[in-house]
Amino acid sequence: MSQANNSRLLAVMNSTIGLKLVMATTGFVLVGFVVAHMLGNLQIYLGPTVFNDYAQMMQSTKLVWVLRLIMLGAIAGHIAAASRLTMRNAESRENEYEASLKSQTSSAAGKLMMHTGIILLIFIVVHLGHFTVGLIQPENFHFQEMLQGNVWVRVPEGFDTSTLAASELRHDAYTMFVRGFQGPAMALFYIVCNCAVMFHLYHAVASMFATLGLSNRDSRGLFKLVGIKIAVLVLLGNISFPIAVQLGFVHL
Amino acid sequence: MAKSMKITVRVWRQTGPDAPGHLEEHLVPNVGPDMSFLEMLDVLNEHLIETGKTPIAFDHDCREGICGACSMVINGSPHGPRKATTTCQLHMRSFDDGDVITIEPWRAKAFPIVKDLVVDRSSFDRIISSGGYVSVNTGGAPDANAIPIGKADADEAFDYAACIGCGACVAACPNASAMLFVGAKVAHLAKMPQGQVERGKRVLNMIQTMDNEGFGSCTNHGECSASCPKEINLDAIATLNREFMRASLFGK
Repeated sequence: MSQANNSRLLAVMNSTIGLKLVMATTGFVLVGFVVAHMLGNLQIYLGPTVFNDYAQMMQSTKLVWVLRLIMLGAIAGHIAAASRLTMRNAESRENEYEASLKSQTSSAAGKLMMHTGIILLIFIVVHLGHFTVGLIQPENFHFQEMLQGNVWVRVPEGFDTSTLAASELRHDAYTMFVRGFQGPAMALFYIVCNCAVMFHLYHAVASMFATLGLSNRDSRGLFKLVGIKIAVLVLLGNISFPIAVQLGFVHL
Repeated sequence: MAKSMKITVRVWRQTGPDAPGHLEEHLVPNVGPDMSFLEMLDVLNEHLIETGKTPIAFDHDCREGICGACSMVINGSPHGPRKATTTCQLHMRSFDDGDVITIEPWRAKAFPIVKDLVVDRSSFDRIISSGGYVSVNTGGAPDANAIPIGKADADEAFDYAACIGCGACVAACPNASAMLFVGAKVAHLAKMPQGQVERGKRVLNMIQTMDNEGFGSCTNHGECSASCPKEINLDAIATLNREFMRASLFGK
């Protein structure tokens, strides 16, 4: 790549629209993940075997690391671009209006994107600590299933697994999931954070299509509706998990 | 004859670009409902001059809604409460007897205050001179309609060309972004055969100037279009994003 092309690319990525395009493309990846993550987790309702099969499948493939790297990159890019744009926008009006601007079209969700975004960052860190690395509630993280014949069963408490081969043991994600949501405070934390996800998506999806130059006067309403539907479906799916555990629909 | 109204104005007074400003209250006792908003200010100014005070400085020129000079934010709305109406075309019948009206200048870093309600909008001129033109050979004036343009394209280009460059979009935007203005100019010329030669260079240069002038970025709230006296559609911004991507990728 020539130097001229390099500097053009740099100028593009440093421009407000370039940063917005980073927001939209990384946002597209993140929305896709959030929807897939919710749909995958619905398998909790099919019982421990199906859910742990799904967890084992995700763990066993090298692809999971590729996905994780893509997700980390998307989150980093999304945050970096958002920070720069927010700082720019904060500087673009040094003196505020005495009589505050009348809102005609802007939504609370749209104006609170930075706030809900910060809640999401905290949520992602806690969620990874809770279910991915086991730093939060580590006592729930070591449960395993073992193969008996061709059926996976939960390893009973105090059972010595040292005689079993590695292929006969697997992580019991179902038990971790259920126990993780049994504390009412943790369940509430997930519900509140998913409301922030809903607010974020409410503005994000339609905004993404606009930034990518895909929406016009005919499709703008449709994209807005699609965004709201995605936001509400993700919310309903995700909060159903702590609620189902709390109400005992999903149990050990 | 329609009854006269008593109007209290709270108007922004600022003696110079670096002077501190404040809201000053005046009672205008004999306001006719058929006066334009600017005529109401004229009456107030005559009174101020008669009593030896400094009249309120405000921009105005054609007073028929096509020059874009009469910039002021009235009760938190650029150009006041009526849709698709410039301040000069706003009449006092839009207000009630006894109303208190707050009048402020456009507020944006890129529109520094000159005096009272007058702001310096030369940042828009600099955006235009960086690409908002078509270059044509000198010589005899070409025949009208020598280059045929499809009706749909001509109509759309004309809708964008209706922008009067008043800056209400910037004043209304929570981020003081100029995307609707730049979008209208870029989309107008991108639709025309005459605009094709400089199409890529135009959008990249105009965006760079827009960013350098200190305007904010678009967060897709849509306040700009809702406040636009010429009702420039949000499609201008989606088109601007598309033109920017096209130029960044293909350089033309």
